[in-house]
Amino acid sequence: MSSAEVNLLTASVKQYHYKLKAYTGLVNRLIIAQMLALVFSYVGATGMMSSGNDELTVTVSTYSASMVIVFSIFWIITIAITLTTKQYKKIELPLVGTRISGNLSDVGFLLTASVYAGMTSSLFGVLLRIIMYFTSDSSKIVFDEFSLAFPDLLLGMVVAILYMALISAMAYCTGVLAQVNMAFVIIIPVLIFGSLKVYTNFMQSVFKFYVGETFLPLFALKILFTSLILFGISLLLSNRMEVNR
Amino acid sequence: MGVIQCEDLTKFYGKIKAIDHLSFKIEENKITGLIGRNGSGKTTLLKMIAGYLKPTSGELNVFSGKPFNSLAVSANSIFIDDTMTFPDSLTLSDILTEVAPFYANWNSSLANGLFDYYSFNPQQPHSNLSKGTKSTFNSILGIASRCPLTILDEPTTGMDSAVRKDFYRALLKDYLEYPRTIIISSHLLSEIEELLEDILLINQGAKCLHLSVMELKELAVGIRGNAQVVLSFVEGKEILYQEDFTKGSLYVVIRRNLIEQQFELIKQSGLELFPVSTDDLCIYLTANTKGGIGDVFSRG
Repeated sequence: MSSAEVNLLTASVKQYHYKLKAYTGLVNRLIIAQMLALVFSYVGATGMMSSGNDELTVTVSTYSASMVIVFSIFWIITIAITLTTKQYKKIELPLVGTRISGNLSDVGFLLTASVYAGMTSSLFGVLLRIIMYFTSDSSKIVFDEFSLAFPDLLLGMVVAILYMALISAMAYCTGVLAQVNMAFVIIIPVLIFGSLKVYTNFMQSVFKFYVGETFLPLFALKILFTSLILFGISLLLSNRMEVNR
Repeated sequence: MGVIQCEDLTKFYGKIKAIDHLSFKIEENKITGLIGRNGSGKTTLLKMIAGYLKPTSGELNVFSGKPFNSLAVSANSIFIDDTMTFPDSLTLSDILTEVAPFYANWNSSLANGLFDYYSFNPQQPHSNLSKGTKSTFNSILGIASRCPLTILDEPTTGMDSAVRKDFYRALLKDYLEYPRTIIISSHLLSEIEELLEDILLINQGAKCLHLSVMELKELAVGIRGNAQVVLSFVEGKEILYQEDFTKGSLYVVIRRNLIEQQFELIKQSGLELFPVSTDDLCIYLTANTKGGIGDVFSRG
Protein backbone atom coordinates (compact mmCIF):
# COMPACT_ATOMS: atom_id res chain seq x y z
CA MET A 1 0.00 0.00 0.00
CA SER A 2 1.56 3.24 -1.10
CA SER A 3 0.73 5.50 1.77
CA ALA A 4 1.18 9.22 1.38
CA GLU A 5 2.61 10.86 4.48
CA VAL A 6 1.40 14.37 5.04
CA ASN A 7 1.83 16.56 8.08
CA LEU A 8 -0.70 19.06 9.29
CA LEU A 9 1.38 22.12 8.53
CA THR A 10 2.06 21.15 4.90
CA ALA A 11 -1.62 20.45 4.38
CA SER A 12 -2.57 23.81 5.94
CA VAL A 13 -0.04 25.73 3.86
CA LYS A 14 -1.26 24.03 0.68
CA GLN A 15 -4.84 24.85 1.55
CA TYR A 16 -3.82 28.44 2.29
CA HIS A 17 -2.25 28.78 -1.16
CA TYR A 18 -5.33 27.24 -2.74
CA LYS A 19 -7.59 29.66 -0.87
CA LEU A 20 -5.53 32.70 -1.84
CA LYS A 21 -6.21 31.86 -5.48
CA ALA A 22 -9.73 30.63 -4.92
CA TYR A 23 -11.10 33.57 -2.99
CA THR A 24 -10.01 36.43 -5.26
CA GLY A 25 -13.71 37.15 -5.71
CA LEU A 26 -13.89 38.13 -2.04
CA VAL A 27 -10.96 40.53 -2.43
CA ASN A 28 -12.61 42.21 -5.40
CA ARG A 29 -15.52 43.07 -3.12
CA LEU A 30 -13.12 44.96 -0.85
CA ILE A 31 -11.95 47.14 -3.72
CA ILE A 32 -15.55 48.00 -4.58
CA ALA A 33 -16.35 48.78 -0.93
CA GLN A 34 -13.29 51.02 -0.58
CA MET A 35 -14.05 52.88 -3.81
CA LEU A 36 -17.58 53.52 -2.61
CA ALA A 37 -16.29 54.75 0.73
CA LEU A 38 -13.84 57.05 -1.02
CA VAL A 39 -16.65 58.58 -3.06
CA PHE A 40 -18.70 59.11 0.07
CA SER A 41 -15.72 60.66 1.89
CA TYR A 42 -15.05 62.99 -0.99
CA VAL A 43 -18.63 64.09 -1.54
CA GLY A 44 -19.64 64.38 2.08
CA ALA A 45 -17.35 66.17 4.47
CA THR A 46 -17.37 64.45 7.85
CA GLY A 47 -17.49 67.71 9.77
CA MET A 48 -18.69 71.14 8.83
CA MET A 49 -18.34 74.14 11.04
CA SER A 50 -19.70 77.52 10.17
CA SER A 51 -19.49 80.78 12.05
CA GLY A 52 -19.56 84.43 11.25
CA ASN A 53 -21.03 87.83 11.81
CA ASP A 54 -22.60 90.35 9.46
CA GLU A 55 -19.42 91.03 7.54
CA LEU A 56 -17.68 87.68 7.51
CA THR A 57 -18.62 84.01 7.37
CA VAL A 58 -16.10 81.19 7.88
CA THR A 59 -16.97 77.63 6.89
CA VAL A 60 -14.58 74.79 7.75
CA SER A 61 -15.19 71.42 6.15
CA THR A 62 -13.31 68.43 7.48
CA TYR A 63 -12.66 65.48 5.23
CA SER A 64 -11.64 62.10 6.51
CA ALA A 65 -10.97 58.74 4.94
CA SER A 66 -12.03 56.90 8.08
CA MET A 67 -15.11 55.72 6.25
CA VAL A 68 -12.83 53.62 4.05
CA ILE A 69 -11.59 51.86 7.18
CA VAL A 70 -15.16 51.38 8.43
CA PHE A 71 -16.19 49.86 5.10
CA SER A 72 -13.12 47.63 5.12
CA ILE A 73 -14.08 46.45 8.60
CA PHE A 74 -17.55 45.56 7.34
CA TRP A 75 -15.90 43.70 4.51
CA ILE A 76 -13.65 41.66 6.80
CA ILE A 77 -16.65 40.79 8.99
CA THR A 78 -18.58 39.48 6.00
CA ILE A 79 -15.71 37.42 4.64
CA ALA A 80 -14.86 35.95 8.06
CA ILE A 81 -18.45 34.81 8.43
CA THR A 82 -18.64 33.65 4.81
CA LEU A 83 -15.62 31.41 5.33
CA THR A 84 -17.40 29.52 8.11
CA THR A 85 -20.50 28.77 6.05
CA LYS A 86 -21.21 25.23 4.86
CA GLN A 87 -20.88 26.33 1.26
CA TYR A 88 -17.31 27.51 1.80
CA LYS A 89 -16.40 24.60 4.05
CA LYS A 90 -17.39 22.29 1.19
CA ILE A 91 -14.65 23.84 -0.92
CA GLU A 92 -12.12 22.19 1.40
CA LEU A 93 -13.52 18.70 0.89
CA PRO A 94 -11.71 17.75 -2.33
CA LEU A 95 -8.44 18.86 -0.74
CA VAL A 96 -6.29 16.76 1.55
CA GLY A 97 -6.63 17.98 5.11
CA THR A 98 -8.62 17.93 8.31
CA ARG A 99 -10.89 20.38 10.05
CA ILE A 100 -7.77 21.79 11.74
CA SER A 101 -5.93 22.44 8.48
CA GLY A 102 -9.11 23.96 7.06
CA ASN A 103 -9.34 26.35 10.00
CA LEU A 104 -5.65 27.17 10.00
CA SER A 105 -5.76 28.04 6.32
CA ASP A 106 -8.85 30.17 6.97
CA VAL A 107 -6.97 32.01 9.71
CA GLY A 108 -4.05 32.48 7.34
CA PHE A 109 -6.36 33.85 4.70
CA LEU A 110 -8.07 36.21 7.16
CA LEU A 111 -4.76 37.54 8.47
CA THR A 112 -3.59 38.12 4.89
CA ALA A 113 -6.87 39.85 4.17
CA SER A 114 -6.42 41.99 7.31
CA VAL A 115 -2.96 43.07 6.22
CA TYR A 116 -4.22 43.85 2.74
CA ALA A 117 -7.31 45.70 3.91
CA GLY A 118 -5.41 47.57 6.64
CA MET A 119 -2.73 48.75 4.25
CA THR A 120 -5.01 49.74 1.42
CA SER A 121 -7.54 51.51 3.60
CA SER A 122 -4.75 53.58 5.18
CA LEU A 123 -3.40 54.41 1.74
CA PHE A 124 -6.85 55.62 0.74
CA GLY A 125 -6.32 58.42 3.27
CA VAL A 126 -3.38 59.55 1.15
CA LEU A 127 -5.38 59.14 -2.04
CA LEU A 128 -8.17 61.31 -0.63
CA ARG A 129 -5.65 64.04 0.18
CA ILE A 130 -4.27 63.94 -3.34
CA ILE A 131 -7.73 64.13 -4.86
CA MET A 132 -8.62 67.05 -2.57
CA TYR A 133 -5.42 68.81 -3.51
CA PHE A 134 -6.09 68.64 -7.23
CA THR A 135 -9.83 69.16 -7.23
CA SER A 136 -10.31 71.98 -4.77
CA ASP A 137 -8.88 75.43 -4.65
CA SER A 138 -5.53 74.81 -2.95
CA SER A 139 -5.55 78.24 -1.38
CA LYS A 140 -8.47 77.12 0.72
CA ILE A 141 -6.80 74.02 2.11
CA VAL A 142 -5.56 74.20 5.66
CA PHE A 143 -2.15 72.63 5.31
CA ASP A 144 -1.54 72.16 9.02
CA GLU A 145 -2.37 68.48 9.07
CA PHE A 146 -2.71 68.02 5.36
CA SER A 147 0.53 66.25 4.67
CA LEU A 148 0.73 62.89 6.35
CA ALA A 149 4.10 62.05 7.81
CA PHE A 150 5.37 58.63 6.84
CA PRO A 151 5.73 57.35 10.44
CA ASP A 152 2.12 58.38 11.06
CA LEU A 153 0.98 56.57 7.94
CA LEU A 154 2.88 53.47 9.03
CA LEU A 155 1.42 53.62 12.52
CA GLY A 156 -2.07 54.01 11.04
CA MET A 157 -1.49 50.96 8.88
CA VAL A 158 -0.29 48.78 11.73
CA VAL A 159 -3.18 49.79 13.96
CA ALA A 160 -5.70 49.26 11.13
CA ILE A 161 -4.24 45.80 10.43
CA LEU A 162 -4.42 44.85 14.11
CA TYR A 163 -8.04 45.96 14.40
CA MET A 164 -8.92 44.05 11.24
CA ALA A 165 -7.28 40.93 12.67
CA LEU A 166 -9.19 41.22 15.95
CA ILE A 167 -12.49 41.89 14.24
CA SER A 168 -12.00 39.03 11.78
CA ALA A 169 -11.27 36.69 14.70
CA MET A 170 -14.46 37.84 16.43
CA ALA A 171 -16.52 37.41 13.28
CA TYR A 172 -14.98 34.02 12.50
CA CYS A 173 -15.72 32.77 15.99
CA THR A 174 -19.30 34.01 15.69
CA GLY A 175 -19.60 32.23 12.34
CA VAL A 176 -18.35 28.95 13.78
CA LEU A 177 -20.75 29.26 16.74
CA ALA A 178 -23.57 29.84 14.27
CA GLN A 179 -22.58 26.61 12.52
CA VAL A 180 -22.71 24.76 15.83
CA ASN A 181 -26.18 26.10 16.52
CA MET A 182 -28.17 28.66 14.57
CA ALA A 183 -29.49 30.07 17.85
CA PHE A 184 -26.14 31.82 18.34
CA VAL A 185 -26.97 34.09 15.42
CA ILE A 186 -29.52 35.70 17.72
CA ILE A 187 -27.85 35.08 21.07
CA ILE A 188 -24.52 36.78 20.29
CA PRO A 189 -25.86 40.18 19.16
CA VAL A 190 -28.36 40.12 22.04
CA LEU A 191 -25.54 39.41 24.49
CA ILE A 192 -23.36 42.18 23.08
CA PHE A 193 -26.06 44.83 22.94
CA GLY A 194 -27.62 43.66 26.18
CA SER A 195 -24.38 43.90 28.13
CA LEU A 196 -23.64 47.28 26.53
CA LYS A 197 -26.90 48.48 28.04
CA VAL A 198 -26.78 46.71 31.40
CA TYR A 199 -23.07 46.45 32.21
CA THR A 200 -22.11 49.77 30.69
CA ASN A 201 -19.15 50.30 32.98
CA PHE A 202 -17.75 46.85 32.46
CA MET A 203 -18.13 47.07 28.69
CA GLN A 204 -16.51 50.47 28.69
CA SER A 205 -13.50 49.14 30.55
CA VAL A 206 -13.27 46.23 28.10
CA PHE A 207 -13.42 48.75 25.28
CA LYS A 208 -10.81 50.90 26.97
CA PHE A 209 -8.56 47.89 27.46
CA TYR A 210 -8.04 47.79 23.71
CA VAL A 211 -8.83 51.26 22.37
CA GLY A 212 -7.29 53.14 25.30
CA GLU A 213 -3.91 51.47 24.94
CA THR A 214 -1.47 54.00 23.52
CA PHE A 215 1.72 51.96 23.72
CA LEU A 216 1.90 50.17 20.38
CA PRO A 217 3.72 46.94 21.35
CA LEU A 218 1.34 46.39 24.27
CA PHE A 219 -1.64 47.19 22.06
CA ALA A 220 -0.38 44.69 19.47
CA LEU A 221 0.13 42.08 22.16
CA LYS A 222 -3.39 42.53 23.53
CA ILE A 223 -4.95 42.30 20.08
CA LEU A 224 -2.91 39.32 18.94
CA PHE A 225 -3.49 37.42 22.16
CA THR A 226 -7.25 37.99 22.01
CA SER A 227 -7.37 37.01 18.33
CA LEU A 228 -5.39 33.88 19.10
CA ILE A 229 -7.86 32.87 21.80
CA LEU A 230 -10.85 33.51 19.53
CA PHE A 231 -9.34 31.55 16.64
CA GLY A 232 -8.42 28.79 19.08
CA ILE A 233 -12.01 28.55 20.31
CA SER A 234 -13.24 28.40 16.71
CA LEU A 235 -10.78 25.65 15.95
CA LEU A 236 -11.77 23.53 18.93
CA LEU A 237 -15.45 23.97 18.20
CA SER A 238 -15.27 23.02 14.55
CA ASN A 239 -12.81 20.19 15.01
CA ARG A 240 -15.55 17.87 16.20
CA MET A 241 -18.07 18.87 13.59
CA GLU A 242 -19.17 16.61 10.78
CA VAL A 243 -18.98 17.98 7.28
CA ASN A 244 -21.07 17.57 4.18
CA ARG A 245 -24.03 15.95 5.84
CA MET B 1 -4.63 -6.79 4.33
CA GLY B 2 -8.00 -5.13 4.71
CA VAL B 3 -8.10 -1.48 3.72
CA ILE B 4 -11.48 -0.97 5.29
CA GLN B 5 -12.59 -2.91 8.33
CA CYS B 6 -15.96 -2.29 9.75
CA GLU B 7 -17.41 -3.98 12.82
CA ASP B 8 -20.92 -3.47 14.13
CA LEU B 9 -21.01 0.04 12.62
CA THR B 10 -24.10 2.10 13.42
CA LYS B 11 -24.97 5.65 12.43
CA PHE B 12 -27.92 7.68 13.63
CA TYR B 13 -29.09 11.02 12.25
CA GLY B 14 -30.91 12.22 15.33
CA LYS B 15 -33.40 9.44 15.87
CA ILE B 16 -33.23 8.03 12.36
CA LYS B 17 -31.02 5.01 11.90
CA ALA B 18 -29.03 5.26 8.68
CA ILE B 19 -26.54 2.42 9.19
CA ASP B 20 -27.55 -0.57 11.24
CA HIS B 21 -24.88 -2.82 12.82
CA LEU B 22 -22.91 -3.19 9.62
CA SER B 23 -19.81 -5.42 9.52
CA PHE B 24 -17.63 -6.05 6.51
CA LYS B 25 -14.06 -5.93 5.29
CA ILE B 26 -12.75 -4.61 2.00
CA GLU B 27 -9.45 -5.99 0.74
CA GLU B 28 -6.69 -3.94 -0.80
CA ASN B 29 -6.68 -3.27 -4.54
CA LYS B 30 -10.17 -4.56 -5.23
CA ILE B 31 -12.97 -2.81 -7.02
CA THR B 32 -16.06 -3.16 -4.87
CA GLY B 33 -19.54 -2.13 -5.92
CA LEU B 34 -21.70 -0.71 -3.17
CA ILE B 35 -25.24 -1.47 -4.20
CA GLY B 36 -28.47 -0.59 -2.47
CA ARG B 37 -31.82 1.04 -2.95
CA ASN B 38 -32.38 4.77 -2.59
CA GLY B 39 -31.96 5.74 1.05
CA SER B 40 -30.33 2.47 2.02
CA GLY B 41 -27.35 4.26 3.57
CA LYS B 42 -24.77 4.02 0.77
CA THR B 43 -23.72 7.66 0.86
CA THR B 44 -23.71 7.75 4.67
CA LEU B 45 -21.42 4.72 4.74
CA LEU B 46 -19.07 6.20 2.14
CA LYS B 47 -18.92 9.54 3.94
CA MET B 48 -18.01 7.76 7.17
CA ILE B 49 -15.24 5.91 5.33
CA ALA B 50 -14.01 9.20 3.86
CA GLY B 51 -13.96 10.72 7.35
CA TYR B 52 -16.68 13.31 6.81
CA LEU B 53 -19.13 11.77 9.25
CA LYS B 54 -18.57 10.26 12.66
CA PRO B 55 -19.93 6.78 13.41
CA THR B 56 -22.45 6.71 16.26
CA SER B 57 -21.15 3.37 17.51
CA GLY B 58 -19.09 0.42 16.36
CA GLU B 59 -15.64 0.15 14.86
CA LEU B 60 -14.58 1.59 11.54
CA ASN B 61 -10.96 1.39 10.48
CA VAL B 62 -9.53 2.71 7.24
CA PHE B 63 -5.81 2.04 6.67
CA SER B 64 -5.87 0.71 10.27
CA GLY B 65 -6.95 4.05 11.75
CA LYS B 66 -10.17 5.83 12.54
CA PRO B 67 -11.11 7.84 9.46
CA PHE B 68 -13.11 10.68 11.06
CA ASN B 69 -11.19 13.93 10.62
CA SER B 70 -7.99 11.97 9.98
CA LEU B 71 -5.20 13.49 7.95
CA ALA B 72 -3.75 10.12 6.97
CA VAL B 73 -7.07 8.94 5.56
CA SER B 74 -7.63 12.25 3.83
CA ALA B 75 -4.19 12.09 2.21
CA ASN B 76 -4.76 8.58 0.92
CA SER B 77 -8.35 8.77 -0.21
CA ILE B 78 -10.59 10.84 -2.41
CA PHE B 79 -14.36 11.07 -2.28
CA ILE B 80 -16.04 11.89 -5.57
CA ASP B 81 -19.73 12.72 -5.83
CA ASP B 82 -21.90 15.17 -7.70
CA THR B 83 -21.99 17.76 -4.91
CA MET B 84 -18.26 18.58 -5.03
CA THR B 85 -17.79 22.34 -4.85
CA PHE B 86 -15.08 24.46 -6.38
CA PRO B 87 -14.77 28.22 -6.10
CA ASP B 88 -15.92 30.29 -9.05
CA SER B 89 -12.62 32.16 -9.18
CA LEU B 90 -11.01 28.99 -10.50
CA THR B 91 -11.54 27.82 -14.05
CA LEU B 92 -11.69 24.12 -14.86
CA SER B 93 -8.05 24.03 -15.91
CA ASP B 94 -7.11 25.98 -12.75
CA ILE B 95 -8.86 23.34 -10.65
CA LEU B 96 -6.78 20.56 -12.19
CA THR B 97 -3.53 22.41 -11.50
CA GLU B 98 -4.53 23.61 -8.03
CA VAL B 99 -5.83 20.26 -6.76
CA ALA B 100 -2.82 18.34 -8.09
CA PRO B 101 -0.31 19.30 -5.33
CA PHE B 102 -2.59 17.78 -2.69
CA TYR B 103 -2.34 14.28 -4.08
CA ALA B 104 1.00 12.48 -4.02
CA ASN B 105 0.18 10.14 -6.92
CA TRP B 106 -1.53 12.73 -9.13
CA ASN B 107 -1.06 11.95 -12.82
CA SER B 108 -1.35 15.25 -14.62
CA SER B 109 -0.82 13.88 -18.11
CA LEU B 110 -3.74 11.53 -17.55
CA ALA B 111 -5.85 14.37 -16.12
CA ASN B 112 -5.09 16.63 -19.07
CA GLY B 113 -5.60 13.79 -21.52
CA LEU B 114 -9.06 13.03 -20.19
CA PHE B 115 -9.84 16.75 -19.97
CA ASP B 116 -9.03 17.20 -23.66
CA TYR B 117 -10.78 13.98 -24.64
CA TYR B 118 -14.06 15.16 -23.16
CA SER B 119 -13.43 18.58 -24.79
CA PHE B 120 -14.05 20.74 -21.75
CA ASN B 121 -13.72 24.48 -22.09
CA PRO B 122 -10.68 25.25 -19.89
CA GLN B 123 -11.97 28.75 -19.07
CA GLN B 124 -15.34 27.65 -17.70
CA PRO B 125 -16.07 27.76 -13.96
CA HIS B 126 -17.15 24.49 -12.35
CA SER B 127 -20.53 25.77 -11.21
CA ASN B 128 -21.62 26.45 -14.79
CA LEU B 129 -21.32 22.83 -15.85
CA SER B 130 -24.40 20.75 -16.46
CA LYS B 131 -25.15 17.79 -14.21
CA GLY B 132 -23.59 15.26 -16.56
CA THR B 133 -20.49 17.28 -17.42
CA LYS B 134 -19.97 18.03 -13.72
CA SER B 135 -19.93 14.31 -13.01
CA THR B 136 -17.57 13.78 -15.94
CA PHE B 137 -15.18 16.44 -14.66
CA ASN B 138 -15.30 15.07 -11.10
CA SER B 139 -14.56 11.60 -12.42
CA ILE B 140 -11.34 12.95 -13.96
CA LEU B 141 -10.26 14.04 -10.46
CA GLY B 142 -11.19 10.61 -9.12
CA ILE B 143 -9.14 8.74 -11.70
CA ALA B 144 -6.14 11.08 -11.99
CA SER B 145 -5.63 11.44 -8.22
CA ARG B 146 -4.74 7.72 -8.07
CA CYS B 147 -5.53 7.59 -4.39
CA PRO B 148 -4.94 4.26 -2.64
CA LEU B 149 -8.60 4.48 -1.67
CA THR B 150 -10.86 5.96 -4.32
CA ILE B 151 -14.49 6.41 -3.34
CA LEU B 152 -16.92 7.11 -6.15
CA ASP B 153 -20.43 7.88 -4.96
CA GLU B 154 -22.82 7.63 -7.90
CA PRO B 155 -20.10 8.88 -10.25
CA THR B 156 -22.22 8.57 -13.38
CA THR B 157 -25.13 10.78 -12.29
CA GLY B 158 -26.38 12.62 -15.36
CA MET B 159 -23.77 11.20 -17.75
CA ASP B 160 -25.05 10.03 -21.11
CA SER B 161 -24.42 6.41 -22.00
CA ALA B 162 -21.44 7.17 -24.28
CA VAL B 163 -19.65 9.07 -21.53
CA ARG B 164 -20.55 6.39 -18.97
CA LYS B 165 -18.93 3.73 -21.15
CA ASP B 166 -15.83 5.89 -21.61
CA PHE B 167 -15.67 6.46 -17.87
CA TYR B 168 -15.88 2.74 -17.08
CA ARG B 169 -13.13 1.99 -19.60
CA ALA B 170 -10.91 4.79 -18.35
CA LEU B 171 -11.35 3.67 -14.75
CA LEU B 172 -10.58 0.05 -15.57
CA LYS B 173 -7.57 0.89 -17.75
CA ASP B 174 -6.02 3.11 -15.12
CA TYR B 175 -6.82 0.59 -12.39
CA LEU B 176 -4.96 -2.11 -14.31
CA GLU B 177 -2.00 0.18 -14.73
CA TYR B 178 -2.09 1.44 -11.17
CA PRO B 179 -4.06 -0.91 -8.90
CA ARG B 180 -5.82 0.66 -5.94
CA THR B 181 -8.86 0.08 -3.77
CA ILE B 182 -11.95 1.47 -5.42
CA ILE B 183 -15.46 1.61 -4.01
CA ILE B 184 -18.11 2.60 -6.47
CA SER B 185 -21.74 3.05 -5.57
CA SER B 186 -24.25 2.92 -8.35
CA HIS B 187 -27.78 2.05 -9.31
CA LEU B 188 -26.68 0.73 -12.67
CA LEU B 189 -25.32 -2.63 -11.56
CA SER B 190 -25.86 -4.21 -14.98
CA GLU B 191 -23.49 -1.58 -16.44
CA ILE B 192 -20.75 -1.81 -13.86
CA GLU B 193 -20.73 -5.51 -13.04
CA GLU B 194 -18.05 -6.09 -15.71
CA LEU B 195 -15.86 -3.68 -13.78
CA LEU B 196 -16.44 -5.06 -10.31
CA GLU B 197 -14.78 -7.86 -8.42
CA ASP B 198 -16.93 -7.76 -5.30
CA ILE B 199 -20.39 -6.56 -4.53
CA LEU B 200 -21.52 -5.26 -1.17
CA LEU B 201 -25.28 -5.10 -1.09
CA ILE B 202 -26.86 -3.13 1.72
CA ASN B 203 -30.51 -2.74 2.55
CA GLN B 204 -31.92 -0.27 5.08
CA GLY B 205 -28.48 0.28 6.53
CA ALA B 206 -27.72 -3.38 7.11
CA LYS B 207 -25.56 -5.75 5.11
CA CYS B 208 -27.50 -7.94 2.75
CA LEU B 209 -24.58 -9.76 1.19
CA HIS B 210 -20.91 -9.31 0.33
CA LEU B 211 -19.84 -11.62 -2.47
CA SER B 212 -17.73 -11.68 -5.57
CA VAL B 213 -19.62 -10.91 -8.77
CA MET B 214 -19.11 -14.50 -9.96
CA GLU B 215 -20.70 -15.88 -6.80
CA LEU B 216 -23.58 -13.44 -7.08
CA LYS B 217 -24.28 -14.52 -10.64
CA GLU B 218 -24.50 -18.12 -9.44
CA LEU B 219 -26.47 -17.35 -6.32
CA ALA B 220 -29.99 -17.78 -7.59
CA VAL B 221 -31.97 -19.40 -10.32
CA GLY B 222 -35.32 -18.65 -11.88
CA ILE B 223 -37.87 -21.38 -12.56
CA ARG B 224 -40.87 -20.91 -14.80
CA GLY B 225 -43.70 -23.23 -15.73
CA ASN B 226 -46.98 -24.62 -14.49
CA ALA B 227 -47.76 -23.09 -11.11
CA GLN B 228 -48.63 -26.41 -9.44
CA VAL B 229 -45.46 -28.12 -10.59
CA VAL B 230 -43.25 -25.17 -9.70
CA LEU B 231 -44.73 -24.92 -6.24
CA SER B 232 -44.21 -28.64 -5.63
CA PHE B 233 -40.48 -28.09 -6.04
CA VAL B 234 -40.14 -24.89 -4.02
CA GLU B 235 -42.60 -25.76 -1.25
CA GLY B 236 -41.19 -24.78 2.13
CA LYS B 237 -38.15 -23.08 0.68
CA GLU B 238 -37.39 -19.37 0.79
CA ILE B 239 -38.71 -17.75 -2.37
CA LEU B 240 -36.85 -14.57 -3.32
CA TYR B 241 -39.29 -13.43 -5.94
CA GLN B 242 -42.55 -14.68 -7.35
CA GLU B 243 -44.52 -13.50 -10.34
CA ASP B 244 -47.76 -14.92 -11.73
CA PHE B 245 -48.24 -15.17 -15.46
CA THR B 246 -51.37 -15.94 -17.40
CA LYS B 247 -52.70 -19.50 -17.88
CA GLY B 248 -51.55 -20.70 -14.47
CA SER B 249 -47.89 -20.11 -15.23
CA LEU B 250 -45.59 -19.06 -12.40
CA TYR B 251 -42.05 -17.66 -12.21
CA VAL B 252 -40.10 -17.98 -9.00
CA VAL B 253 -36.55 -17.05 -8.06
CA ILE B 254 -34.87 -19.23 -5.46
CA ARG B 255 -31.36 -19.69 -4.11
CA ARG B 256 -29.50 -22.17 -6.29
CA ASN B 257 -28.07 -24.23 -3.44
CA LEU B 258 -31.58 -25.03 -2.16
CA ILE B 259 -32.59 -26.75 -5.34
CA GLU B 260 -29.38 -27.72 -7.17
CA GLN B 261 -29.88 -31.47 -6.65
CA GLN B 262 -33.27 -31.35 -8.29
CA PHE B 263 -32.22 -29.62 -11.54
CA GLU B 264 -32.58 -32.77 -13.67
CA LEU B 265 -35.95 -33.51 -12.17
CA ILE B 266 -37.13 -29.94 -12.81
CA LYS B 267 -36.10 -30.08 -16.43
CA GLN B 268 -37.87 -33.43 -16.87
CA SER B 269 -41.04 -31.95 -15.43
CA GLY B 270 -41.18 -29.48 -18.31
CA LEU B 271 -40.12 -26.42 -16.30
CA GLU B 272 -37.67 -23.85 -17.61
CA LEU B 273 -34.60 -22.75 -15.68
CA PHE B 274 -33.19 -19.24 -16.11
CA PRO B 275 -30.12 -17.51 -14.81
CA VAL B 276 -31.01 -14.40 -12.81
CA SER B 277 -29.20 -11.17 -13.66
CA THR B 278 -27.30 -9.61 -10.77
CA ASP B 279 -29.29 -6.42 -11.20
CA ASP B 280 -32.64 -8.22 -10.81
CA LEU B 281 -31.34 -10.36 -8.00
CA CYS B 282 -30.26 -7.30 -6.00
CA ILE B 283 -33.72 -5.84 -6.46
CA TYR B 284 -35.34 -9.06 -5.26
CA LEU B 285 -33.01 -9.35 -2.28
CA THR B 286 -33.72 -5.81 -1.14
CA ALA B 287 -37.45 -5.85 -1.82
CA ASN B 288 -39.75 -5.17 1.10
CA THR B 289 -42.51 -7.37 -0.28
CA LYS B 290 -42.26 -10.50 -2.34
CA GLY B 291 -44.43 -9.25 -5.21
CA GLY B 292 -43.52 -6.54 -7.70
CA ILE B 293 -45.17 -3.20 -8.36
CA GLY B 294 -47.69 -5.11 -10.48
CA ASP B 295 -49.33 -6.26 -7.26
CA VAL B 296 -50.26 -2.70 -6.43
CA PHE B 297 -52.32 -2.50 -9.59
CA SER B 298 -53.78 -6.02 -9.49
CA ARG B 299 -55.26 -5.49 -6.03
CA GLY B 300 -57.81 -3.22 -7.66
